[in-house]
Amino acid sequence: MKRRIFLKLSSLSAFAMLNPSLVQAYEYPAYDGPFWIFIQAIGGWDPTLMCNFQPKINNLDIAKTYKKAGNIEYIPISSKAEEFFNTYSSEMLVINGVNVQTNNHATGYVHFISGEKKSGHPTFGALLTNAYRLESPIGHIMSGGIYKNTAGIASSVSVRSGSDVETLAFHTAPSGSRTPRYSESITTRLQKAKEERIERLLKKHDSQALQKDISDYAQAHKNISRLEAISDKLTNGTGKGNLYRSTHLGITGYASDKMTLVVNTGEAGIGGFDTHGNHDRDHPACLDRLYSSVDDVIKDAKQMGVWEDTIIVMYSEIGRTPTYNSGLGKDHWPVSSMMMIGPRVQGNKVIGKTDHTLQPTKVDPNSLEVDEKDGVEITYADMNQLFRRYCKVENTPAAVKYSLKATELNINQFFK
Amino acid sequence: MIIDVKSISLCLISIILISCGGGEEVESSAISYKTDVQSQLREPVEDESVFVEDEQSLEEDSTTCVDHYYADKVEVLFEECKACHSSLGLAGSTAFVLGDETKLNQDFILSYMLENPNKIIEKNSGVLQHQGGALFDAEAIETLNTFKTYSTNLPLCQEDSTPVLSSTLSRSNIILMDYTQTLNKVTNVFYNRDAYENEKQSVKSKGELAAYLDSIMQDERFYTWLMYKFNDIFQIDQYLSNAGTGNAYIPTPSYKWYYGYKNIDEKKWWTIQKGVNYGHVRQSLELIAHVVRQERNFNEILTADYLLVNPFTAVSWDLNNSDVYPDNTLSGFIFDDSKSYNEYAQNEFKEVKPKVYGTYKKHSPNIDEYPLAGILTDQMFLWKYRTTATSRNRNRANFIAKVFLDLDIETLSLRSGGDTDPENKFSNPTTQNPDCTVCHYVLDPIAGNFHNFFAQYGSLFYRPRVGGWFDINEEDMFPVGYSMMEPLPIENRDNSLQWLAKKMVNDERFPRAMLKHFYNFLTAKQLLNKPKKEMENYEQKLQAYLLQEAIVDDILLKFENSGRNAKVLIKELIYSELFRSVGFDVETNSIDLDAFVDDARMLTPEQVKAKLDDKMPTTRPEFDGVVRSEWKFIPKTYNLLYGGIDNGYDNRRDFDMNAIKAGIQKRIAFNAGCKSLAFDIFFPKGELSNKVYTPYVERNTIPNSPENILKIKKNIQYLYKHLHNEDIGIDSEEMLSAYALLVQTYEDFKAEGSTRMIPVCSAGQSVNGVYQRNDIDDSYMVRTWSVMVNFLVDDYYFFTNVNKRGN
Repeated sequence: MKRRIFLKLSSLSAFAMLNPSLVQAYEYPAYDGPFWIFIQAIGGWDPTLMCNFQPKINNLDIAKTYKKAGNIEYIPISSKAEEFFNTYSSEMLVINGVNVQTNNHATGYVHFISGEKKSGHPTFGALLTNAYRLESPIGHIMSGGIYKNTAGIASSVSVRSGSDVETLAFHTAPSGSRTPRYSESITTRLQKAKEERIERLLKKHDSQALQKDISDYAQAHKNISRLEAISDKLTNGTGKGNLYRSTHLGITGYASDKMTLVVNTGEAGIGGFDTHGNHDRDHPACLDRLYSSVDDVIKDAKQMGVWEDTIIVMYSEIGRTPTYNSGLGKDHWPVSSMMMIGPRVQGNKVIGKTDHTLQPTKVDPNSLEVDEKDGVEITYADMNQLFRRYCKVENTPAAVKYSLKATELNINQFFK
Repeated sequence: MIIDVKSISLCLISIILISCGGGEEVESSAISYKTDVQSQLREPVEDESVFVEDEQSLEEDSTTCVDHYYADKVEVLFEECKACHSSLGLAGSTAFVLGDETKLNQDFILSYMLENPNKIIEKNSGVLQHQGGALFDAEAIETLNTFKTYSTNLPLCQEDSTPVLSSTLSRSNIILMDYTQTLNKVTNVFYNRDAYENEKQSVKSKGELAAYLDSIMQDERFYTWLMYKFNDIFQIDQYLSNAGTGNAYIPTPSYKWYYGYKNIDEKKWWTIQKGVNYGHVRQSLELIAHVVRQERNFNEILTADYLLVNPFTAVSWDLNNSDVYPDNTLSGFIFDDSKSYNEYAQNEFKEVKPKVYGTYKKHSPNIDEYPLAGILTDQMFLWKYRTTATSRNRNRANFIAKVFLDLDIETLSLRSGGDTDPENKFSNPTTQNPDCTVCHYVLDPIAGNFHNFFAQYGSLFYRPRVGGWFDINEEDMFPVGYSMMEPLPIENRDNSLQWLAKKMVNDERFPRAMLKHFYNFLTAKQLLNKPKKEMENYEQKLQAYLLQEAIVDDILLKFENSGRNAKVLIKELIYSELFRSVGFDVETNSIDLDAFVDDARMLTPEQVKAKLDDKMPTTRPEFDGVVRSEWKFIPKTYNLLYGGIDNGYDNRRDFDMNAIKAGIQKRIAFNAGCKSLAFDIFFPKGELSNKVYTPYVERNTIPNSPENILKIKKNIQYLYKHLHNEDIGIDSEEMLSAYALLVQTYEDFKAEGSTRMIPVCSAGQSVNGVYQRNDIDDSYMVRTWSVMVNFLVDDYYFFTNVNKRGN
């Protein structure tokens, strides 16, 4: 057996699994936040109905006017929109004119969550979990989605229910019960036997590939013991819908010793934005649902006491065209916007813009002011690099291995 | 005859220099050309120092011969260029076309630089116009100049000093499982179970395995497996759950034929609707099964000029209408209202060639029968991968290129900066902006072939776009064809997809793409891509790739010689090292090489459920809900949590282990050692017990005598074999550990003193209305065995397909 892997397993396994008190005493690497919630507007949203005021290109009368909430101009497409921007503008950073560099849903999504358009790079959530919460069973919650690649550096879980976690945490009890079927001595003996079995399997197989597979299996089984420690705090909450459920689980996870660092709503995000037909009829309704859902998430984070550390990133994989098609729809466009909300972001602020043909303006990477001559266009790779630097993971081995071709943006312009 | 794969890449490189024929002639032409070019510069020499002008610089880059310098420093400069400067790329018709072979690229670039001094540098530094822009910085230019210099003053690498692999492994170094072990893997693939003893006894040789495979391929379960696997690609079963879907989006001539039943016999109406839906939704998957079952040329999945209908969709297509089909020979399909609907099987399909009808006929007066092209014209495929006014079938083109040619067009766009540069105000970026054309040059011609199936919503069948074709009438798409070099002949505009299908199946990438799918179906692994020089562990990756390619070439040749019979392809894959390898006969110390020969993949939710059903079969169906209530949720409630797919948004299987999956495994293990074990040990083999857990022991077999100890050990031995397919010796370390666990657990229960089992894990049941508790474990062995079963089910081997067991 390869000594390296054997030692790794030996150190993590037997006694830690046997003794719950040791499990709970495990100390994660220090992490001072933030807690990230990435919420996707699935299908490609239209920022010109939100935060990028472009009166010349929209047929909707309401989109020919704008209102201001602090320094943020927004389109008052509904009372919900007004309430949303007025409530959160002071903690809201709008980034307009983001060049997503593709018109393709899948490529845009992969680009956003990994910083690289081509499949293969791990998601930002996997990088962060790898650095700080590798042992946590719910370090990175990813509710479905077409790109789950972790590049083998950390696992993500697609779980949306606290009760699922509880059922699986108390796996030695019958369903609906927490009373173990076996006595503590038998449970301990059984766990010890399973640990020794893993060690025998590792000795038996000299293939590095199989050893890694067995190690991953053992690591996952070790991590489940931590679920028990937090399952009391994991609740289903009172809200409805997949988005609420997956974010609530993450919020409770972060509230429990920062067990969860990232929630990526994936398919649980708000859908319906791909309005190739009847754009003006359908798109505002999607935005209303988005505003309502994010509002619920923020209230939940506040109620659970984690809002001070939370950053909500609202994004869409692509944007929409400046013109209408023959079906009164808007098609795909490679320029979009993002919004970040939270006490840690530089709120009441707008970075970047576009012209009325939705061409992005260039910005100075330091001041983030418009600089058409020497500036750069902000991309999803740049934003990923920014997130990495803010969380101090840009130099971890995994981040170096999966480095990004990105411009270094001034971090202080985005975060407090 | 199969086309030599390697010769094609040589062909592409040599495209402007030599005429490209086929097979070995091409290769020899290219090689002689290569030699000629090299000899113009320098003959191989033995004394390196003669030609070294600047020894210091050579020491710095550790270069001893020009080939190494090129491979290390220069090839990487041109990686980005290949997106356009390849045979199918935007610059594929220019004089500068690169391929995948490093050595040939080196020779070509050198010759190009000799014939066109400075042109490459000037194009890539902004001096000369270049659609791809200025890609080289000062360092890149210096590297290229150095390469040119070295080509005249460095020796050529000797044959044995070309970039070499630190160790050389050949196919003969691969250890194969024997045919009986292969059989076991085969039954696990197709039936999700280990081979039975009688099956093992009957398969000892390749011929016997072949016979067994023949019998599998006569079994409908094989075709269920085949369609299940292809659905992972097409994800068309998304529409099976809603019985109205197929009918709603495929308005066939008589699609309302059963509507009237709703008010007369709702059950009948519902059954027919389901049958119609099944017929429409599964047509593409059934076509694949049909082609394989009939041993037709596998090309037919794209070239079939017929439609498959089941008894229900046959009526929808009006095939029982003698006015439309006066020579109707399809009477077997006519839905006979006097028959019970249960007499018709929704999965019974036959070939038909429906005629163009109604208003569609106006759009296509030249067409009598629909110009069908297998999956490309399948209605539900067209619905799933639908188009829009601006997408213009590109989504479809992208999908079919990826699935049927293994061509990922999106990867060409990696250098794209998007269509947003303010300096580039193109009137039509798609055909003008190089950032866009890099993909659209490849994508648009293929997409154009779908013009006759353009309808976005509502009808999805043959309905040429009103307003004509984009490339002719609006000139804002690249011309329809197979590529920019192969336009669609004007006479094929009515049946463009049939034309495209023929082009695709004649493309050498088609059979390889099919092999790639079947390899994945059989092993859950992906074929290796050729590694790039800058990759970690490049040598080992390259070695694994070269081994794989040698095997793949052999299999493709046999597939080709069989007339592309997919059964042959599957069998040859199974006979090959790609399926049967268990390791190397030498130490590799390489995770990349080990991964190539090893096969360990977590079971899918469906496979876990099938394994549980196989290993712990229920004696009575009504027990299923009571005894194993959580197991049936594996492919349902736990499906996505366990890495499954829903054919919709969650469409990528996830095989990474995590704690949630571990928790599911543990719950399964506890349930395995619970109620079903209690029945197994409380009752003799018969109505209430299969004796799948405890065939060698009874409840009162306690470890208190040599005879009982032997029985217990035999039962442990049996459980290892039954649950893991793992052979352990009666005196092995594994047995010692397992037996120790059993004895200590027994002593624990005994020390605890309680004989009462918890109700949920007892063998309680009602007999003639009287409940029998069956919950007294006065020997302590019921619960002891439950711990043992838990221990063995909650195991890496139980939840993973592993080739290499090495006892």
